[in-house]
Amino acid sequence: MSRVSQGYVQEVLQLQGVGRDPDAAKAIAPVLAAQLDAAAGAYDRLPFETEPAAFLVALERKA
Amino acid sequence: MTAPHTWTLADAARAVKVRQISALELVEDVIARAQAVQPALNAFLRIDADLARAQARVADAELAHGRTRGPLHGVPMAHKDMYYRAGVPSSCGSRIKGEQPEDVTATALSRLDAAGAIQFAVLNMAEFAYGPTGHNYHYGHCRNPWNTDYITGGSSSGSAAAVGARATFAALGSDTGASIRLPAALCGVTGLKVTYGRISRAGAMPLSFSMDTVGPLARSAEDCALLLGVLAGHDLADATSSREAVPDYLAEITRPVRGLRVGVALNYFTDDVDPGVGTALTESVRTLEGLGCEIVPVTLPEMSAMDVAGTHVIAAEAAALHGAWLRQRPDGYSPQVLARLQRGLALPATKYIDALRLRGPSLDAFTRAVFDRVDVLHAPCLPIPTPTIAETDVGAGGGMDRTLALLTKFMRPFNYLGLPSVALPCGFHPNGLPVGMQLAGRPFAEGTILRVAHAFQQATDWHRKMPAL
Repeated sequence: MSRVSQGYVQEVLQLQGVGRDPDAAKAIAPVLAAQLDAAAGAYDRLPFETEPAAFLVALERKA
Repeated sequence: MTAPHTWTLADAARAVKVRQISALELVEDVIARAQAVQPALNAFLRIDADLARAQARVADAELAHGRTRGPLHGVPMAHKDMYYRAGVPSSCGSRIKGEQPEDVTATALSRLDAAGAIQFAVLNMAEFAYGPTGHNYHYGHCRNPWNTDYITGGSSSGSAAAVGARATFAALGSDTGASIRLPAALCGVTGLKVTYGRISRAGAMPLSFSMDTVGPLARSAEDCALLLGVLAGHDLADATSSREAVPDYLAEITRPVRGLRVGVALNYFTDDVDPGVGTALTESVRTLEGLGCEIVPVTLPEMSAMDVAGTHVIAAEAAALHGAWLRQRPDGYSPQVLARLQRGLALPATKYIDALRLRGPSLDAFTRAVFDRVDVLHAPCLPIPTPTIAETDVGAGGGMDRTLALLTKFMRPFNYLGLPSVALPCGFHPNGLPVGMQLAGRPFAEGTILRVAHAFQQATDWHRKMPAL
């Protein structure tokens, strides 16, 4: 399970040019990353398709 | 005769068509109602009375010459202030956008215009549609018509408050993570979140392009069906709008529901449910059973993962879309929305992509577990009673984060899965505010969920209850 370090978050925010009050992001990012790792672990293999248009095709197939 | 502003959209359209009332009389009555409730609710950001009157006169002249534009001829409507109209500024609930007029008209507005509707106002909303409560620190908080101390829900706060207060027959909202269904549930109206791609999003403010949907809030399932028939369909201006055929929704909702299988979840949607909410939900299941629906218990796959992944997608896409303003004008945001957007900046790209890759398998797992067994899934809109504005305001402390998470927990998975879901009132909590239920369906099965909702509303009168304003 990965962890996003506080230093990493600070670095990202600086890269993005956003240095103002990043406390909320610092607090939540590691939690979100860990939650997503747990969620992804529920599936053996994930598809490569990520674009909205590809998901639309998946929906139309299930209609 | 009852006051025209209390009619449903369908009844108002019929009344104009047979010239029981003129479009101008209807517009005048609705504008008077809007102006009367505005001091209490703060639902409207702008009322264009003179423009609406001028359009109503044209509509009446057309009718006098035997011409009808479409099924909404001469009917006034107001919309969430995030649907662009060429030549007019759209605030999107923010001050950042300023008074710069838009250069396109949203496809949704164009289709309503072509059907004969008259837009008379724009409605309050959460700043950039990124908040679940109805708070807005730029234009003032929107207030619940059933008790103005309570939140409307968001982000389509003004849409739900105005429809609930009978100050517009219906309104466009948008649903990225519950933003139509949540305020619909809290304000006692009917709100439809469509299948991803069912309605064009061209010219609507984007928040999360993988999750955004356009949809109506109205006073009944029949009104939602009427509007969906006007709004749905492929649009060359939106590459993610579907070419799936658009059925006659008004015909579909009149079909019998006897024998339809309605799923009731054994897990997830049972978590943290307040007794007052649970009582109304249980009674709504009994009503459906009494209508001849077969009630089928279903076990859902892991839903929390879908809620989390959906949160990731919205956070990452919203932060990317707001990147320039976040760098250049962070002071233009309210502190709450700025903090929400900054969360997305801190998410690694790999996590965002993983969240998107989880989507297809999640849809497959959910449809196999649920829609291989039932036609419609019945669920609460939210587990908790409506909180007050003060309980969810800045500095409220004491469990506010948990309250905010519970507001969207039962609805956000359907955004992630791209599935349609309609929210409708099914009773009242002991606190005097409405309780909402949702009915979700297979992809593009809006006709089926609206059919069950319509049958429920033919057997009950929760959707006809009006707040004492």
